[in-house]
Amino acid sequence: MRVQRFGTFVGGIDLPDEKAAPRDAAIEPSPRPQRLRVPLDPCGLGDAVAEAVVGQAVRAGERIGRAGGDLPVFAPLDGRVTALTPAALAGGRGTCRVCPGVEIEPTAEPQPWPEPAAMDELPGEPPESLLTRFAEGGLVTLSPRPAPLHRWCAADRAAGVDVLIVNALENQPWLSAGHRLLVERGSEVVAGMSILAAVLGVRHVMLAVDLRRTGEYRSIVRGRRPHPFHPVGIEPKYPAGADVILTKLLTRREVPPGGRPLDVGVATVTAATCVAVAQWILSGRPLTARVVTVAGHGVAEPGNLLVPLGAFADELLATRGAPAERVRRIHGGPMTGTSLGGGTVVGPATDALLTLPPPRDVEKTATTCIRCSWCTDHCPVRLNVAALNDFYELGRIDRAEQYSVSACIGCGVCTYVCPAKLPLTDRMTQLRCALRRRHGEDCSDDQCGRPECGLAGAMR
Amino acid sequence: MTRGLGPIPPMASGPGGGACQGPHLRAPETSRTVFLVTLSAALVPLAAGTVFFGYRAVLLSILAVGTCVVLERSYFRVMRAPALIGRSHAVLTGVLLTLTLPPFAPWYVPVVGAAFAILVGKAIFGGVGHFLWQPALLGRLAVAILFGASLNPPVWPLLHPAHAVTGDARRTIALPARAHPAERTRPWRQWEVDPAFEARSLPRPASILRQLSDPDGEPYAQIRQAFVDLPPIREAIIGSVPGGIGETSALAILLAGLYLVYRNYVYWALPAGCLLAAAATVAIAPVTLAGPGGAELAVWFPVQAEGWLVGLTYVSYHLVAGELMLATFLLAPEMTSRPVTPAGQLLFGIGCGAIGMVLRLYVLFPLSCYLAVLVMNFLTPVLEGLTRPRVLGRPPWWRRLPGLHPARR
Repeated sequence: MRVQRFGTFVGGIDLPDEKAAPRDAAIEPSPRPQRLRVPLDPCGLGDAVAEAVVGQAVRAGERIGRAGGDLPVFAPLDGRVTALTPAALAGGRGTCRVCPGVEIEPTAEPQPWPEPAAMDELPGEPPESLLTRFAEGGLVTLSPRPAPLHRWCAADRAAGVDVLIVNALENQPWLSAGHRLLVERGSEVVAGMSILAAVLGVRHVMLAVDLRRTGEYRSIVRGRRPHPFHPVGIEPKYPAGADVILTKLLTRREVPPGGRPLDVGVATVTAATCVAVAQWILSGRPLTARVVTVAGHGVAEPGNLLVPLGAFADELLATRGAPAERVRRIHGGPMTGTSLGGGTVVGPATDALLTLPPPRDVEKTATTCIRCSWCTDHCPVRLNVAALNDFYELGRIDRAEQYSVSACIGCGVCTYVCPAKLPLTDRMTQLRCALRRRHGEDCSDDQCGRPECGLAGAMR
Repeated sequence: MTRGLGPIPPMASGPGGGACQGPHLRAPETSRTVFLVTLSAALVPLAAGTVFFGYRAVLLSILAVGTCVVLERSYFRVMRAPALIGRSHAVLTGVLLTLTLPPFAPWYVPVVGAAFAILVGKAIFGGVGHFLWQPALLGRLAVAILFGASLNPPVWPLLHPAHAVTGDARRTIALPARAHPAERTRPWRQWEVDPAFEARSLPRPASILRQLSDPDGEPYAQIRQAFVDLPPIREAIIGSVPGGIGETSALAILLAGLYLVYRNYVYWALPAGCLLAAAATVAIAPVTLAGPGGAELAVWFPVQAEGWLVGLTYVSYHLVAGELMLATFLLAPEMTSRPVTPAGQLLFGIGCGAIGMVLRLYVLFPLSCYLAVLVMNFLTPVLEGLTRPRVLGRPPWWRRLPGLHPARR
């Protein structure tokens, strides 16, 4: 496969590429869970209503509730509704975000996806009707911060987006769900990407993949292209997969500090979102399951599971032989993920469930900054993190603003390299949060824990 | 005064220990690793010094290290402040101080220097991460001022090759300055052994080079005449020339420094800028030669005044002589007292090299490059402020100039 090769960026790190990652493990359906607790409002829209009643028998794909007035939620498996209890989704900083949920006792085994549907040419529907169909399918973006897909598309169209980037780079250790999707469901990724490109009316579509694995994506490049796109191989340097960095690499557009790629006319989606779009538009299967990587330290059978939304994370880890204690359980990638609370269920944001060994003793205590400059050298957005850490310790938000702390993308590189084991990423997040509150904006950052927000009052 | 947030709040910990928010992976290196690796690099010039100046180099370093460790621990115990990093940085400071001392220093010199380095250089600022000046150099400066001329004699000892490592650099015979050029410049390995003396006293290469630019006696008529008085440049690179304990062996220092650069403990631009700036300075700065009729003649651009071969040899002597190499690779890159930004480190290195050479050529002070590092340490906060890297998404500095129309910014 010939892929266009792109340059790299200043900073970043080479993370260890875990050999135990389930990169060659095919997607398989998860075993039948004891019960599911389907979150009705994973996007935090509010106003979620359960339409099923307790005791009702539901079929897979049957509508059981809605959120935000119009976004439907479907039952992932055949079963019986046993309760209407709140479901806990993984939130920032190891907290849980609780939203209304429907508890279902499944009576059928989860089935693998049927053969991927192929799309010869784009559907002839106008974008507006496709947007309506997105809303009818309850589609959300399968990204760390899910949003309803039709609203996401509408915002992109309003912003005049002209580049669509499908971000299939997974450059954190162990993550492999997106890689498996590209290998096994490549035609659906291309179909979903083409549909999204038609809806957004963009001029360029780019598929960003890991340069090391381009050989495994032949079917995508050789297959039909309903919409032209550029497959691009990117050097596997962390955090090339962060949206802001990827935007800079592929389009040379720099997102202003605190902004999103949307602000410079770029839309980024994950491969999983494309698959969900293709399955709904081509086959009429709504979004009820997603591929989750279950792997990590001590996991007996790492793999990529097709998990119905609402399955319990602890149960999933246990079925693959994850050790019960002396490990840290992580929701998401090891660099940007949060620790997993008990009773958390799989939602649209769950791309991986990992176990990591407990931290070494030296990692538990932060000492003084020795000004080694490694955080500043490796910061992908070139923040002077050492100086910002000083401003944090002095409580100087005004100086932090002069040093553009809002450009921080929270990739975690500074904390990773810090020899003094300072929680630098945490501190940058708190500074950003304090700055936003100071300007009277709502601190809607997922990564910002509410208790730490209290610190903002002590800062100038 | 700004009221801070007080002590660092404890990190919230999730189930299984560790932070809740990522990253959950950490690089294996800790502050202790950084200091211990730098320490092991500093032991290479110390070993070279032990070969050329005898076992007393080790004794002096033990005295300095012991004083550093004891004082650091007792200071933080008395002041009820937590010991910030522990002992590794104190050990490193002690060894670096020893490297800068003359081999004939009496026992109290490393003790006083180490006490000054730890108490004044480090502790009153708050320890590692907070001091402004490199502590070992502050200690060296203190003993240079306190013990003055006794630490800066015109001739310095160097062991006979037969007494390497085992000899005592204080049992020395002095060769009169500029008396027997042929005898003084004989290669070290071919020295005649005198059973009564284990070492010889010779002028240091740096002071002979200084005679070229700032003669206090009779000036040389030509630059190449100074080479007769200087030891062969091979000797100066290996280190068998008189000087401070860790200063003379450019080879050992280069090995240690390149290892630190390889480990990314030293940003390559700092030593590179330092050496290039030093070379450029001595290539341009005028030397004073004897003109016709006994007049003194200032000759600019000595690098090409008598042909490139002589000029480049002159520049090379300057690079390997004296304390320049030690300051470049081990003292100036001290993490706390150099700028953090890459461009700042380059400017810092350039400043160290240029100021050090100007001081060596024209100012009557023995510790020219050390003084240059201390001066540049003083400028570190300014350099950091001037060389902020451009944050992604912000316009470059020339688009942010105050005179520019807001629409162009």
